[in-house]
Amino acid sequence: MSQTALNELKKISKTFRQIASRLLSTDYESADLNLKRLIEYINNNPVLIDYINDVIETFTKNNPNYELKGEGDRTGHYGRFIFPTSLEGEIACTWTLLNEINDSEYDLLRFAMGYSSPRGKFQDEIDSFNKNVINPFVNHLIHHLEDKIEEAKNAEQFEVAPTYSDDFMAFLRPLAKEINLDSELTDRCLTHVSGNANDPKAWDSALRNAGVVLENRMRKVGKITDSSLVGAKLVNALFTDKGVLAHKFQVESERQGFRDLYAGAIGTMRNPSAHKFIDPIPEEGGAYLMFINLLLKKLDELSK
Amino acid sequence: MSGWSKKIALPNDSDGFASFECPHCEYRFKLSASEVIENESEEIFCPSCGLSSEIGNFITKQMLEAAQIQAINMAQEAFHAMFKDLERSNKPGSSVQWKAGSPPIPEPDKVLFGQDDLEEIQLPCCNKHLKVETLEMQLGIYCPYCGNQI
Repeated sequence: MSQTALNELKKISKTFRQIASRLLSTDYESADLNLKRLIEYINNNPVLIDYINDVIETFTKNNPNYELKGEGDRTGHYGRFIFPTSLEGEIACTWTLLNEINDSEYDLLRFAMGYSSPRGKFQDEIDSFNKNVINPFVNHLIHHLEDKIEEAKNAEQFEVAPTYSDDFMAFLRPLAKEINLDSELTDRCLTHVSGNANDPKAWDSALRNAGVVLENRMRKVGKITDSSLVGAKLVNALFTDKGVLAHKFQVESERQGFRDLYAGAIGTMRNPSAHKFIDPIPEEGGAYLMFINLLLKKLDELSK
Repeated sequence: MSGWSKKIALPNDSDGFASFECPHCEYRFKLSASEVIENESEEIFCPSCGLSSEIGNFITKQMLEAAQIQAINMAQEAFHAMFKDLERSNKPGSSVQWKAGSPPIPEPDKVLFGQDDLEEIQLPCCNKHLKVETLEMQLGIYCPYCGNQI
């Protein structure tokens, strides 16, 4: 899937939502025209019509005795339409009905009768029909397009992302040009994954070491000799308002932000990997190391 | 035909964000008021359902209720003033006498609270700002300005 295909899908999604929005908020006099617009747009876009046809095929295959009846699905004369509860059933029956309305000599208003109170206004009938029949159908198609866009995004990432290889740096390539990996991080972590970059266990060891490198750097920068200070206490020794690095901050909220950032990193990343096996996938492992690298860089800047 | 008009200001939160509500799915969100004013298009998209409409249709129900209360208060005041004028025009001894009665008690203005449990994000596509629920962000949102899925 190329970038062009992704952009095309985004464009279809946006246009479909705009056309659907026109129908969903239409005045009753323009309802038939707006329905026609929607049906034409769906029919002209394979990503939509192929999906609907597939859904109808699946539904009829799984429900061989169910007859798609369009208006025949009404509860009675001017009653409401009763569709199957399954997603496939709802899409299949709604699409059949919408085409029947579009091809009919009658206008949409006639089919919308029964969707408001007996003395309801024409506009109320249309609004209620839109809300109960067309909106769910539109939402199903929007979700289908969302899925297709996500698929296209993933496919695009797959095209540009490195495939699993033994090249450790391949996982860091998006960021490696901008920043240099910390030398201690390189020394302590690269050895675990060099030649072993596909192995989550190797990344697990690398991340455990990265956490230790981070704590050691905090000690070094804060000139903290008390080895019993670990985790959040160590972070607080540096970054609370009485911490050793507090004077480095002119803005109080920034200091607090740094405290929260480092405490968060220790709590969510360093501690879990210190106490149990995480075995991250290589992409996550690479991202984790880059994040620790950034935290080390910021500490070094504060020590100057 | 003459009429009354009164402007009701959209209340912004402390960050300068105004509340909006999708006319299709009733999802509530906030946009930077200054960025909305700068926006050239009249159409915006709901960050949640992705459907679109003119921005005026995204006014919140709370805001509409507030406007209705103010309109009713204005109408009552105007009617009372009109009857007061008639009362002053009463002629002694006339069989028809106007009495305005006591002035109407206005319904208190609705206090408009914005949701404050929303998270602010910068939209990567349009470089504008949006506040939505954290969960919605995780589920995926649409840019209110260009309509693209983020």
